[in-house]
Amino acid sequence: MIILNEEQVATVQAHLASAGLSESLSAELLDHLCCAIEARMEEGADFPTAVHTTLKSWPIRHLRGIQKNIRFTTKIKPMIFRFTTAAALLAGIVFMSPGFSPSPVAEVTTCTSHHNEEMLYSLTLPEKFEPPSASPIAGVEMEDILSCGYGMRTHPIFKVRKFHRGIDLKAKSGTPVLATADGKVIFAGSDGKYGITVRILHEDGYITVFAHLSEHIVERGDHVILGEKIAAVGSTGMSTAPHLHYEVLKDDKPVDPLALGRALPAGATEG
Amino acid sequence: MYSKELIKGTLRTVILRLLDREGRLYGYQMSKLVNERSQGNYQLSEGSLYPLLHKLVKDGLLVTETETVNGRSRRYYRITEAGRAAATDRREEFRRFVLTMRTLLDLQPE
Ligand SMILES: [Zn+2]
Repeated sequence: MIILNEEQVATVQAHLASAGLSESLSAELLDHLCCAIEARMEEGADFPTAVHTTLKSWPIRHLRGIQKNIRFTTKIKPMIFRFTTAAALLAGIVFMSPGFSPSPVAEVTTCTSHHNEEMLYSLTLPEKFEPPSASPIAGVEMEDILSCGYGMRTHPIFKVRKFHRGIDLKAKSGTPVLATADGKVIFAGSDGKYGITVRILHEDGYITVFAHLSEHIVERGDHVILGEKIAAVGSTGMSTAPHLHYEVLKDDKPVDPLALGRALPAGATEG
Repeated sequence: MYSKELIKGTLRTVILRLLDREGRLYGYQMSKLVNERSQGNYQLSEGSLYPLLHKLVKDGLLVTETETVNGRSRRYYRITEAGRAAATDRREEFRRFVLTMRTLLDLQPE
């Protein structure tokens, strides 16, 4: 197996450096290019030929294009959507107003449909999704009905110390359970020990889990908004009395739901 | 080789399915696997692969893990539970789409 040496890697890196890419994208593409060069050498090409053939299909313009594209799909596109919605709303208001004349509408349309892409690319948006921090039980603070917190605890049935992935909230059977942030239902149904369960995917890799429910009102694929009724408290699955087991996952790892309202949990920052 | 339009419309489904099966892969590995399994017919461009991967991370369908391999930093993409759900949905939708296209285009199995 051929592995490029430091000097050879530096040659490839120099090519990437001239494109002025962000550090993390540059590192990722460096590995990709090196792998491609190694594969060509594996097939018998010498290093200079392999580099030449590989880099020929990766011109600087192309590299910059990738970076722009990433910024476009992850940051700008969602913003254009919001911007267009806001503009449409504004246009609607202008249209409905009694003193309506067509010119303001034309202006609004122009600024949304003829946006200069270069200008959009240069915008930076620090906008961040607020982690789910609302209470899933209407009108009650989570702290006030907490029967078991997050972290290590002695299991009520097995009497062994176990990691509790969420928090248990005391509530009567049938009490409405609310979505704690906007999102999309990715699971609604029976899930073993969790009993009847609803799982909601939110932005930025957050998932909320509601377990031991008596019933679910939403179905998989439904879009829900903060405060929307999604289920009712119950005691299905491995549960001794009616309560809501509530979990928040960030990138599949559980975090303390009570910590989210206060500050960012450890490990929840982007890395 | 298929047209850009067809690749563009299916890349997300292909990548999610690939990661659903393999669990964890890095960028170069994905293009290599897709190329091999399609006998070179489905050629994905890096220009669309990386923006897609970054978008899937942003949407919580993948997470990244960076490791040092052969002295270089390598970014792996791992599918999340939400990613697996999305992979299943998209694959199922595509299956129905193929059946519809067969009817619409009057395709006979060769
Ligand atoms: Zn619990």
